[in-house]
Amino acid sequence: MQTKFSVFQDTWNHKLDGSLDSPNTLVIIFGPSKLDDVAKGLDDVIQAFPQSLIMGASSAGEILHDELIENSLVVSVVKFEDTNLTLTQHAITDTKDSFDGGMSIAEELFTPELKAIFVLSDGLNVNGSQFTKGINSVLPSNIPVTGGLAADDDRFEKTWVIVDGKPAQGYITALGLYGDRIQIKHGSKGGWDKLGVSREVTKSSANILYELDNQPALEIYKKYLGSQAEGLPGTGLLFPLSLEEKGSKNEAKVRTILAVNEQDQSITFAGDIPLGSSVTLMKANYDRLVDGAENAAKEMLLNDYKDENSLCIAISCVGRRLVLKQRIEEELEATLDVLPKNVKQVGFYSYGEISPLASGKCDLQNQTMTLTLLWESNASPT
Amino acid sequence: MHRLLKRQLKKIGYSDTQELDNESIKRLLDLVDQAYKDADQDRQLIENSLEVSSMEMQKLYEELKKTSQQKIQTTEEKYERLVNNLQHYYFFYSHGKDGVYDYVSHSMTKMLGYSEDEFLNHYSQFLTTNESKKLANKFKKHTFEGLEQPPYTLNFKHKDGTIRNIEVMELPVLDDERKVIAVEGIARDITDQINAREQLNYLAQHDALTGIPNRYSLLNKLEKIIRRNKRDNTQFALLFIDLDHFKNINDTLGHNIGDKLINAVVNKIQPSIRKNDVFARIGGDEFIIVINRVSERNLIGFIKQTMEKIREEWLIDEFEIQISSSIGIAIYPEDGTDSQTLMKNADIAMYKAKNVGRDTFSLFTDEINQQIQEEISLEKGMAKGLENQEFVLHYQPKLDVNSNKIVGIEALVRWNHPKKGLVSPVDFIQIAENTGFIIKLGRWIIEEACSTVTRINKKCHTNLHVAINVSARQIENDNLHQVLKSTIEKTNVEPSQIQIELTESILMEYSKNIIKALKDIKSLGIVICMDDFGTGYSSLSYLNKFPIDVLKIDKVFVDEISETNEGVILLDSIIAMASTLNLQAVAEGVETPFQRQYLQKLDCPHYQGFLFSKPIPEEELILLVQQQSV
Repeated sequence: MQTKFSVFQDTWNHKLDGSLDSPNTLVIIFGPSKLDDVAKGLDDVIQAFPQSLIMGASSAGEILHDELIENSLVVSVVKFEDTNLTLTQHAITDTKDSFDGGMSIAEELFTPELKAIFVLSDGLNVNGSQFTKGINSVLPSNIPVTGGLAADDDRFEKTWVIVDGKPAQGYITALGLYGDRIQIKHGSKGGWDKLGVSREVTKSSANILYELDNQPALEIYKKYLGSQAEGLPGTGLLFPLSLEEKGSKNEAKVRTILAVNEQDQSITFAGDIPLGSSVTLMKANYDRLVDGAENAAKEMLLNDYKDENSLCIAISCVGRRLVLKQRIEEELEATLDVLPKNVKQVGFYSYGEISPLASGKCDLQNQTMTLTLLWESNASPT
Repeated sequence: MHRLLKRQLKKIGYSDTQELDNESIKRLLDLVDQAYKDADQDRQLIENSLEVSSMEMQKLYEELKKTSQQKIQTTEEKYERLVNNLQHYYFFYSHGKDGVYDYVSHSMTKMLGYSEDEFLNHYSQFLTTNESKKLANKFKKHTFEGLEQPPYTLNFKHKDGTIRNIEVMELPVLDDERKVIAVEGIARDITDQINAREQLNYLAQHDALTGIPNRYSLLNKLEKIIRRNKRDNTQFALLFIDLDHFKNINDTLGHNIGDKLINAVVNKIQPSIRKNDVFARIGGDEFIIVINRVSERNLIGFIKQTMEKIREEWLIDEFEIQISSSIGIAIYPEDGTDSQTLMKNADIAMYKAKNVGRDTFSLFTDEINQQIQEEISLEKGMAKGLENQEFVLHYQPKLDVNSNKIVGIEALVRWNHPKKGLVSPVDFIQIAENTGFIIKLGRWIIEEACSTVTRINKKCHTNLHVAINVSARQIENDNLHQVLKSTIEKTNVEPSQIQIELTESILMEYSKNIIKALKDIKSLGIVICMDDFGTGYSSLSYLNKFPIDVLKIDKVFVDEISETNEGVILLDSIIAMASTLNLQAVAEGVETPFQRQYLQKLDCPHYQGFLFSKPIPEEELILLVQQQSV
């Protein structure tokens, strides 16, 4: 497996090298939701890699190695030696189609040789919980599904993913990886502390939360945000929700705000908030956020890894960026500190992360650092 | 250097060797400025969220406090309601470790009549038994030791004086260190339950109609009786009583009359049942009587009395009813060693009695049965025999030792049974004693003996006396004095020619009344003899106490006299003593001339025995007397 990385900020940091272009080549682009400043760079990529499969997503900050870059294109070119790739997409016209979207993508990609799926999805019009449920309804749990939801800085207005070489809204794109040599590891950790009392969800519908303990949910958020309430929905990221479903033995999930509605005092989250669940506001703890990133890397347990050339796709939540601010790169350094030398890290700040839970079933996460590590093992194929 | 400052310097491309231009400094300042603003914002956010969160917590705490207080109040009200309701049936109390009662609920007054003060101050006085006091102390001690105690029952005196059974359950009150500091108790009056239980127990064990033990109770008692008799190696009798033709009474007069008759029969028999014996009704007209430690003779007497009691004419409402009973008898251990076998065999014996014509009894074991039936037939035959003149008197002469002349005779009864021939008195006197026939027979003997001696004396011109044996029953139940008096008048016998012979045992048993009776008899001029002297108690004191004239020395002493054994100290002493006490001595059972000579030497005035004559009929006696007078 060969990798090359380029950054476009007004100009390319070095000339795009099309030599890795092939049907077995994957090009991943992360960039700003506003395309004006990077349109030229995007054209360059499409021209340079006519045979390659191109994926991409808008972000709230692009990651290259231990650096956060803004308003840029971060391009990773990965040429696989012995791994087959299939790229597919599904248009979502209504949030309610999310489950079907997940199901149809899984059906399209699933063969006995399928080793993993990597997903980049629209960040505002997709219900991540329903989408992952759709995938799980088809896929056996031993096939890891990772990825993330595209972002729009802290504006929550418009996101894109690359469809047929062009940025487009309202799509889910997914890459299937097939073959014996391809290796995938993943890890995902948060690092948030619970704040205050636990509350019951007394009114909700899918991913829209209306009331907690019979009080308007938005009112509670505003009270906690104080003067920063003006910055909603972005500042809502400072207080994600810890969600424990009624009667469920699963680990608590973290839910993050996508939108607010002043009229009905509701808040839209990236995943479902079931009625009767109990939720607790969460607050950042700087050290623990950074530790969380480090732990995500440690979680991957690289026993099989033998110093091969490899790529780590880091998808971290926009909420973490909002909290860590200028110190955000500490979490990028933390993951690299743990990962082996030959691992290259790219990624983006997202509106939601997808990775398997302990059960093996994938689910939508929020406010985490989620890592996906890819490499082709050196062992000869049989 | 702070990590953030380091990163900020990195952002402006700063390195140690390079000098910062204005542009870089301006950018760095912007970054630092932003970092300060960020920090302020973070701090404000945290401060605000902490304040909000703290307020929420406070509110939550107050709500919780309110609801928990409400809960406590609700619980307390519930407890109070519960206690108030329970107080109709229970009362509550507590006492400290010193045993001093410090609380009792109002309901105690309802249950025991005392005021609360009375109860608290005088509690222990109301415990009626030592057992209750001990029990209360024992449980109190254990509770203070932290032991879990079951409920227990105390006998408590109600203020109205009645004794109440109070069931008490006590629980220790523990302090924070789990040390017992007091005791709380719940008490309830279970007197009614206990009475009901006893009533139930009584009903389970007693026949509903008659109130005597039922079959269930009988079997229980029988088990105990068997165990006791087995241990003591003793006998007892089990009687199976069935009323003859009782079914007819039920069928013709109705069950109501039948029931009343059964009750009447039970009431009649009940008083003759001893404390340790059992009288049970096990069926319509079937009863069982268990009699402990009874001799065969007394048993038969009891059975006959019982049959007699049943045989009477009963007046039930306006009906005169005649019934009889059949009784089967089984004896432990001969006829069975367990209750089932004994009852079965008594039942079989009862059927045997029914088969021979009812109104009789039968023993299960043939041998005993036969013997007893024989005695009964003798008994039945005796009255008839007297009528048919089957009884006769034989007479044994009494002689003067020196002259060998007949001085008197002793009358001895014989029964000339039409089937059995001559029956010895040994075989029938005891039966006659038991049945009371002896009185009738005794009167006949006295009259016959007196007539005979008068006849002989007249015929032979002699002055013989006649000695007549009398039994205890005659002295006890008959007016012997009157009988003798009228006989003297009737037969014209000289009173001095009558001698009454009594045994030592009669004198001993009936000593209280007998002195007067004997004195009365003696006042008629009749002579009193002590028979068989030396075989019984041989107490010298009563020789003085009773008005005795003649001492008849038993044959056993005379038997001692033989040519090889000359010195017979006892006989010598008795004769000497008689002489000293001024009693006439008569030696009985003299069989050899040597014995007579010996008696002569001792100055014993009279003798009787086969040496001269065995007891003989009147005709033979007359011949003997006539021979001597020739």
